[in-house]
Amino acid sequence: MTEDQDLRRFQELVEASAHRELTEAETAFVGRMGFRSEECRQWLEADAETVTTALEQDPLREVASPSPLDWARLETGLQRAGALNNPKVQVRKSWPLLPAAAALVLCIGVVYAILRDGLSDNTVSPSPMVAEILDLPDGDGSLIFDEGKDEDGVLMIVLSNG
Amino acid sequence: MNESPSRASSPVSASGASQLAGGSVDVEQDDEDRRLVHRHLSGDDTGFEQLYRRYRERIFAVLVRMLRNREDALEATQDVFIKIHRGLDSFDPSGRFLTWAYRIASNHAIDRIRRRKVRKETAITEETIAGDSDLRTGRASEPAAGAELERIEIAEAVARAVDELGEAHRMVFTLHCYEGLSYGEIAAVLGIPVGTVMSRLYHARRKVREALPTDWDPGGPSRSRGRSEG
Repeated sequence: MTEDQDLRRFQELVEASAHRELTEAETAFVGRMGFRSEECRQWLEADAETVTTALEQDPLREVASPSPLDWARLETGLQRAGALNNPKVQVRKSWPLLPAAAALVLCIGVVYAILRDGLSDNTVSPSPMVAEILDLPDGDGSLIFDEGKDEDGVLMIVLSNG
Repeated sequence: MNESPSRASSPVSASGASQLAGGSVDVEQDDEDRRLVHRHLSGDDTGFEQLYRRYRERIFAVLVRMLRNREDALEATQDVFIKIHRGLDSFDPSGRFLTWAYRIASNHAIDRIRRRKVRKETAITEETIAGDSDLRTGRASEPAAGAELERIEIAEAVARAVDELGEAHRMVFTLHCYEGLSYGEIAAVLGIPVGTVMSRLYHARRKVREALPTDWDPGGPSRSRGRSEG
């Protein structure tokens, strides 16, 4: 195709896009020619200068920043949504550190005490233990008179003929 | 072709234009954005907070221009940043964060426009145009005359024409004419082919131009006077 034909087709397609959806190939042609062809670009940009000049009068050309109050309002929404940290919540978050540390110290103390003293809650000093080895032959006529167990150990009373 | 128009509009878009102009500043900012995203994804909340501080004005400005209403835009800015926060793990670090953020903002704006069907009675254009000269010059309201009347007339015509653009055309028009995005960048933001961007922009421009008074001379005295007043 000649340049003139390209330009004509380019114009037709751009105009047609107002009324129908262009095919992929047509869209690609417009994009390609819009970049490549100086004539096509000039035609495409025919209104650009006038519109740019008119836009200089548009108040939205300069958008004033929202007020600090507006930003604060917006940020409150972001904090609620969890997108921004809430400084107040941060302060609250720091408080549990103290009880947590105290609880940890307490736990360590308890574990240490258990390891040292065992689980017995007996606070009085244990009775002295007496051990005696009795070497009694079987059938020697000894009579186990009483055998009992309690928390302090085994009590055995043996009557022996020895 | 004026692919990336250098419009010195608001301080917001002026910085946007410089960023979109390309160069090492862009690359550095993009890298920093990616670092902040990574920081957020690693569990450091300050990553998102810094992204928010960095781009809140830019997102607000683009939403004001798309929605033509400050209150709506403020609300929408909040919604957009919540969406950004929730979707950061789906951000592709090979792309630009700002392009991705613009896409979320544009889609959200389209949704809002469709939902509300433009509450024209509260449109910013009407409330702002009336007090616009006071806001810019700091002068008390005086009966407008001559060039000032013409300026107001043009402003109203532009505002009405942009309001009447369909959302698809308005998005392209806003991103190009106010935000200074190139055809390629708009295509990336909106997820449409460059050819579609070109044709939509062509029709949007034509509608705005047709809405202008036929006897208006873009190079006329009002324009030069406006410029000399700064």
